[in-house]
Amino acid sequence: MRGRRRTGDGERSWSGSDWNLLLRLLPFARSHWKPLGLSMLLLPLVSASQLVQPFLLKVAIDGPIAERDSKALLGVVGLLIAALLGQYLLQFVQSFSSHVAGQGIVHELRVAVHGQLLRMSNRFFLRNPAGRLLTRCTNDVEGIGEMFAAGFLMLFADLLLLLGICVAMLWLDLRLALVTFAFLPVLVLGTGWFQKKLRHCYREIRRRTAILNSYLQESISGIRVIQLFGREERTVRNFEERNIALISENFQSIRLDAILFAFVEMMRHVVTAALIWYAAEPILGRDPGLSFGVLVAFLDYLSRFFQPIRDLSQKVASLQSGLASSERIFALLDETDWIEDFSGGDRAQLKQTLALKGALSFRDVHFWYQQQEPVLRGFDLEVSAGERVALLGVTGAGKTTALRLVNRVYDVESGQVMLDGVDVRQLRLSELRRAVGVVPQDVFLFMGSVRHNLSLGMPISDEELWTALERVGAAELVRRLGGLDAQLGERGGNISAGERQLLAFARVLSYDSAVLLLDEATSNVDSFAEQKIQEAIATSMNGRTTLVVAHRLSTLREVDRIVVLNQGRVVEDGSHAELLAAGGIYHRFFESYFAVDSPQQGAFGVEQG
Amino acid sequence: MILEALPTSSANSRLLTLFSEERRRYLLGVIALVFSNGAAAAIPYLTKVAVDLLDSATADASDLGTALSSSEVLNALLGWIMAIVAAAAVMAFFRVQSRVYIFDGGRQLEFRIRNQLFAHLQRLGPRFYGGLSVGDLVSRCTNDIMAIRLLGGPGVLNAANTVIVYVVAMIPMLLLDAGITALALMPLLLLFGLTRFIGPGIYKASYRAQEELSRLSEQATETIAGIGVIQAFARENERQSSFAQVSESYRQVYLRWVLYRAVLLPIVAGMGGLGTLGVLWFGGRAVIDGSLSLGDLVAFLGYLTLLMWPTVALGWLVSMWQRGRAAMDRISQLLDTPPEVNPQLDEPPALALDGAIEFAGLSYRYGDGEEVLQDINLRIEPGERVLIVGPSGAGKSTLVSLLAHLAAVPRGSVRLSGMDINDLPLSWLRSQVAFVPQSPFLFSMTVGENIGFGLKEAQQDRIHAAAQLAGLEAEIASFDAGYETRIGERGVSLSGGQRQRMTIARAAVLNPVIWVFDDCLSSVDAGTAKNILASLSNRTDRSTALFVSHRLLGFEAADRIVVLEEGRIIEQGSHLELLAAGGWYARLYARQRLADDVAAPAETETPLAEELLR
Repeated sequence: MRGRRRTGDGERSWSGSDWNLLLRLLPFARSHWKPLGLSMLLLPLVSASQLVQPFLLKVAIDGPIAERDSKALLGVVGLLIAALLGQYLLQFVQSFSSHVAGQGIVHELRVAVHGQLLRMSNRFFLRNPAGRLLTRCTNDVEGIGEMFAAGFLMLFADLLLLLGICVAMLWLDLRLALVTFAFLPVLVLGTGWFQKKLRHCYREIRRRTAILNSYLQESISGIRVIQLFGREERTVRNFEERNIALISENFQSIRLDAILFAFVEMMRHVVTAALIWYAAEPILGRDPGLSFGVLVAFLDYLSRFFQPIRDLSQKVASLQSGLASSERIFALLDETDWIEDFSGGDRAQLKQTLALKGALSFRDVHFWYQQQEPVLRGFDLEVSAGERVALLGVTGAGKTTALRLVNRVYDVESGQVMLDGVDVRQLRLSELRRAVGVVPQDVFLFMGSVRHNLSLGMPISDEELWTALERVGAAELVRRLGGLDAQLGERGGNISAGERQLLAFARVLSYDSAVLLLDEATSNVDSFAEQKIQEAIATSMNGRTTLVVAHRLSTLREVDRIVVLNQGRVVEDGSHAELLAAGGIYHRFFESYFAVDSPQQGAFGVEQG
Repeated sequence: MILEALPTSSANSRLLTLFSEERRRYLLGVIALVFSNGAAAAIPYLTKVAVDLLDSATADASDLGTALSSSEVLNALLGWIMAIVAAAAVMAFFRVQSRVYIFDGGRQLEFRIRNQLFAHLQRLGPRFYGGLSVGDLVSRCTNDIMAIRLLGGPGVLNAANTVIVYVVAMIPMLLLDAGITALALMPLLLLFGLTRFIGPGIYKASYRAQEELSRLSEQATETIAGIGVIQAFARENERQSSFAQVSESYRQVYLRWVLYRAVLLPIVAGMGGLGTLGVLWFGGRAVIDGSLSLGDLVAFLGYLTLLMWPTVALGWLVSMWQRGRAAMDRISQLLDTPPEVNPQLDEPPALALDGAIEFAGLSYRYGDGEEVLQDINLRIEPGERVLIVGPSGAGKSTLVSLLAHLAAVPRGSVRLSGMDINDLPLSWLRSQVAFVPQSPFLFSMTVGENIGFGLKEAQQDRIHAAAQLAGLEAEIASFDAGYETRIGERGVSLSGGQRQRMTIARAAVLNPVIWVFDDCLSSVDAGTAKNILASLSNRTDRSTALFVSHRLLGFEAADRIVVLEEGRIIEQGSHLELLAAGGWYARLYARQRLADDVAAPAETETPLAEELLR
C-alpha cells in the first residue's frame, strides 16, 4: 500500500497537517468560489448587523427615551428594524450560499471518491472491505459537507462575532469590559476541560457507530444464512449489544454537553450580577460615562457573548470529525493501487490492434498473489486467432489467473501477455477490455432493467439485445420476466443462478468482443440451457479467440485444444484424443474428474472482484 | 416490492407511539425545563428590580434630602444580586436535568426504533428482500433513523422549550403590561398560517432527499460489489456519470430542503424581531408618557430576548418535524411489511424429527409474480436420498428453501414427520434442517465462529469434527490463529473452494436430520468433492438428504429422482424407472451420458455420489 496516510477508521488528534488537509480541500472548493465567497463576505456583515442592535438599544434608552423624545425614538426604532431585518436577510443568504458551496464541494468529492474506486485494482478491493469503502463514499463525504456548512464557516462567524463583541464592550465601557473579561479564565478553563472530554466522547461515538453500521450491513447481506441457521435471535442480540455500547456513550456525551451548556449559561448570569454590582457605584456616584443605557446594552452584548462560546465545542467537534473524514478520503484518493493505463503515444499501434484478430500469447509469465506462493511460473501459451483453447488443472494450477492476466485484472510480475503481438500493457485499457469479453464465475446483476444489465449503458439496440438473448436461449426467460424493461434486483429476485448466467452470456454476446474469456461459466446452467449456450458460443466463436476454464466435457469437446496446467506451467497440450492417448495427467485427471458432478475450483485464494 | 412514496397514516401514529413510550423521560425533562425556565425568567425580573433600585436611588438622590444612603442602596442591591446568582444556579441545575432527560429520551427512542427495525428485518423473508437493495436498507436504518432522533431529542426539547418559555415569560409580561404583551404574541399567529402553507413542501423535499440518499448508498454499494463487471466491460465512464447524476440530484433536493429551512428562519425570526420592535416602540412611548417605568421596559426587553431563540427554533422545528415524518414513513414501509413466517411456540415438539418430508398440494409465488411452484405433491421417507433436477428457474431452490420455512407456506402443505411446518418452532426447525446454500456467504467472524454459526453455544469438538468432515482441518491449522483466525476484514481471505467447504462444515456442525445441498459443489475440485461426499456418507447415514443438481451422472443410486419443470413435478422415480419412462430425465441423462461415453470408457467411471447415496 502506497497511500501516505492510514486508511483505517482510527482516530486522530489535531496537528499541523490539518492545515494541509484544508489546503487539499481547496481545489474542490475552487469551482464553488462564488457561493463560498459570498458566504464569507456576508459573515462580517451578519455579525455587524447583530452587533449594532444592542448599541441601538442603548441609544434608544439613553437618548429619546431618557429625553422623552418620541420623534427621535421613532428614528432609532426604524434603524433597529432595519438592522434586524438586515440580519435575518443576510443570514438567510449567507446560510443558503454556504450550503450551496458545501453541497457542491460534497458532490465533487463524492464523485471523485467514486471515480477513484472505479480505477482501483482487484488487489485493492481484496484489501479493503466493502463496508469501509461505502463509508468513504457516503458518511465521510457528508462529514466534510457538515464541516463546511455547520462547523467551519460558523466557527469563523462565531470568532468574528466574539471579536466584535469584545471590541464593542471595550469601547462602551472599559471598566465593565474588564470585569467581564476577568471571568474569562474560569470560562476558558471550564469549557476547555469539558470540550476535551467531549472530543473524546464524540470520537468514541463515531467508532461505535461504525461498528454498529458494519454489523448492520453484514446482517442484511447475510440475512438468508442467518435465517437458514436460525440465528436471528442471537443476531438481534448482538446488534442490541452494539446498540447499547453506542447509546451508553451517547448518554455520556449528553451529560457532558448538558453540564457545559448550563455552566456557560450560569456564568452569563453570574457575570450579569457582577456587572450590576460593579456598575452600581459609578452610577450612584453619577459617573457620566456609565448610564443605564450602557448597562443595558452591555447586558445584551453579554448574552450574545456566551452563546458562541457554548456552541464552540460542537463546532470544533464537527470540524474535527470533518478533518478526520478528509484525512480518510485523501488517503483513498492518494491510493495508486490501480492498473496503469497505457499512455504512450503510439496511436498507430492502437489502430492496428483495433482491427483485432485476437491472437493471444503468454511468454514466460510469472505471477503471484503473495510473493511466497507463486501461481504462474514460466507459463507459456500461444493461441492463434480464432482458436478455442480450454485450460484444465487442479485447484491452484493457475487457470483463472491466466485469464485475469489477459484483460489486466492483474499484471504479470514478469514475462509478457500479448494480444496480436502487442503487450497488453501497451494497449489502452478501455480498448483492451472492450476487445475482451468475460463471463465470470459469479454473475453480478445491477439494480435496474434487464436492458441495463445487458448493455451496461452501451448504446446497443433492442434488436441486437434480443438477438443475443435468442442465441443463448434466454429470450424466453426475459419475456417471462416482462421484457427488457423488467427490473432486476440486487439479489436477482426470482432468477436462479443458472438464469443469471444465461444473462451474462447474452451480455458477452451483445458486446461482440474479439476475444472471449469463459471462467467456469457453465457450471450452474442446466444441461438444456447449456446446450443452447454451447451452440450459441460455437457460432459466435467463429473467428474469435476463446480461452475457457473448463469443467464440462461438453465444453472440452467444443474446443480445438486442451492445455493442462500444473503448478503454474503447461504440462500437456493437445486435442482431447491426443491427450487421452498420451495417457498422461489428462488421462488420469479425466478419469477421476469427469466421473462426478463436481466442477472444479477456479479461484486461487482470492475472491472474484 | 414497490414502496409507495406517500405519507402513510401509520407513520404519524407510529411517531406518536414512539414518543409516548418515552413519556416518563419527556415528562421529567419538561418539568425540569419548567423550573429552569422559571428560574431563567426570574433573572430579568431580578435584574429589573436591581436596575430600578439604582434608577430610583439616582432619581431620589436628585431630590434633596430624601435620598437613601449609598451604602443602604448597595446593601439592598447585594441582596438582589445574590438572588440573581441563586436563580442562575437553580436554572443551571434544572437545565442539566432537562437536557439529560429529553436528550436521553431522544437517544432512547433512536435506540428502540433501531432495535425494532433490525429485529423486524431479521424476520422478513425472501419475498421482501427480493426487491430491496442492501444500500437502500442500510440507508433507512441509519440516515432515516437519525432524522427521527433529531426530532425526538432536540426537536422535543425545542418544542417544549418554546411552549414553556412563552407561558413562563408571558405571566410577568402580562403583569407588566397586557397590551404590549399582545404585541409579542403576534408572530405566533402568523407562524401557524405559514407552516400550514409551507409544511407539505418541506415534507416532499425531505422525503425526496432521504430517497436520494438511499439511492446514493445503493449506487456506491453496487459499484463496489460489481467492480469486476464494470472494469471487465470498461464501463467505468458510464458508471461514473450515472453516479454523478444521482449525487447531483441528491444535491438539488437537499438544497431545496435547505432553502425551505433557510427561508423559514429569517421569516420566523423576523416576525419575532418585529414583536420586539413593537414593544420597544410602544414601550418606549409609555416610558416617555411616564406610564411605564424604565425598569419595566428593560425587564420587558429581557423577556423578549428570552423569547427570541424559542421563536427562531419554531421555524427549525417545522422543518425537523417534516423531515422526521418523511423518515418515519420510509421506516414504516419496512415495519408495515408483516413477516411472512411467525416464530411459533418456544417449546420443541415432543416428537423428534425422523426425516420424513411431505409436500402436499404446495404452491408458491414471489410477490405478485407467477407461481414458481404449482401443486407439488411429494413424500420423502426418512433416510431417503433424493435428487431434484430440472431446468433453470424450475423452482428447485425455492422448493428446498421452504423446508427451512423461509417463506410462508399454507397449512398442511409442508409436513415434517407428519407435523405441519407451521406448528414447528422456527429456530428448532432450522437446527434440524441443515442447508448448504448456493453462494458461500461467510461472516466477518473467526473461522470457528463461522463453522459453529448454527450452534447455540460454541462446542469446540463439534466444530473440529465438522471442519474435518469438510476437509478443512489441515488448512485451518495452517492459518495464523487456527480457528480463531478472522475471516475477511483484517483477516484471512478464503478461496471460493474454501468458502464452499466452510459452508458444508457449518451445516455439518448441526448433526441435522435433513440435509439440503442446494447445488453447492460447484467450486470444489474433484478430489475435495470426493472426500467431502465420502465423509458425508458416514455422517448422513440416518439422515434424509436432498440434492439440487444440474448434473445427473453419479446420482444414479439416488433413492428417488424428482424432475421439476416450471414449478411442477413432471417425473419422479428411481434412475431405472425414469430411464424406462423415456421422458425429460432419460433424454438429459442420455445426453450427459453420451458426452461422457464419447470421452471415456464406461468402466473408468467412479461415481462418487454413489457412495453418498448408498
